[in-house]
Amino acid sequence: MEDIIELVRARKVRKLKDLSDELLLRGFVDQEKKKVRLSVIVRALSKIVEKNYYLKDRKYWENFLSRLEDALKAGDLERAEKIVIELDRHFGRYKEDIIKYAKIRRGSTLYAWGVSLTKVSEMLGVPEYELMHHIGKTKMVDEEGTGKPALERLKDAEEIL
Amino acid sequence: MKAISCDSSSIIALGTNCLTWLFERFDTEFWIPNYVKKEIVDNPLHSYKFGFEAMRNGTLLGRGLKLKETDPQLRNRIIGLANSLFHHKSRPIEIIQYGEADALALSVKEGVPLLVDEKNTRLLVENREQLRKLSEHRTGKTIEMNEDVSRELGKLMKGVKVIRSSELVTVAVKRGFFEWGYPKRQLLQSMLNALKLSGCAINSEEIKELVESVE
Repeated sequence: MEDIIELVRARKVRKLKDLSDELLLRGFVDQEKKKVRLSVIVRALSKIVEKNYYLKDRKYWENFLSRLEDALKAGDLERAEKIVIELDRHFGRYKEDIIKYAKIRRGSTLYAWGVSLTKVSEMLGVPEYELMHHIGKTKMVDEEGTGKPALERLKDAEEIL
Repeated sequence: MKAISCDSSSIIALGTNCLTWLFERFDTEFWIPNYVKKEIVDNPLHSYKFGFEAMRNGTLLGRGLKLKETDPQLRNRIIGLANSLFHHKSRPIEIIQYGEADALALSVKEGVPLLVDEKNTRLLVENREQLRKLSEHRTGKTIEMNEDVSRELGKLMKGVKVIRSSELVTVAVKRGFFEWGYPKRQLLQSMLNALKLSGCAINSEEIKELVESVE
């Protein structure tokens, strides 16, 4: 947890993204929801440190880091999420909060790894609608093979309908 | 009367593109189990972003979509099997939840096909080894498959035919349901692109084949 704050302080975007990936992978294979949730927070932090406008009020920023550090050290991920959302409400430029954005991105990765949409939706608390809209814009499906030839499936559809 | 069990993913993709009216045009009943209703109506109903879509879906109930009882025991069995199919270092990996399992259970119980746009459930029915390989390839971790569980799932889901919203609209175009004044192939191409962007798991090669199937 201390590493996370250090990386945020040093604005190490790439390392935060890598850490988020690693946490997500460990959460997936170890089936630990807490790691998945932390992966979302770290991903959101990587986006925050990329943008100067989040850091323009130094006093607010230092206070944010201190509160975030306390929450992470206590293992209180819900509080950590709230602290990140609060910062985003003050300085962010989008209507939807950055944690939700990170959940959609991480959820899309879990789906690519083989987790069903409603399972991802339940794990991350993000609507299936949001996930589908994001997934549709990725190259995921084009990089994969198909279970059955398209024309064979079409023939089935013609019989079914 | 023919029927098909629908998963929420197909209804979302079709609804996003204002194509759910097609449900009323086919001589087939479109069934949804309770958990799918939750996903497309109840859960998003109070959402800022998707409340309106939830209401539109709600109006389809009793018209294009028919709510159908599923078998909870069968659904739980499918969930149990699917969530013990893949392992990493002997630890099972959970991959499925009530929504897709309910639609699948309805399909198995009633012996009707399945309409699903999300790729993992489709591969769970059609090609579990491919799903394992994909997971292994993308995570870079060894993912093992329990062959006994795979066989049991295969036996349970034997004969279940799977189609997506992409095939549904292709059939609709072929049957002349769209009199929009555009060439059929061009219309279908645009429609399939829109469905793909809305999350229907169809690749570009498949889109090309479907478009070329239309005269």
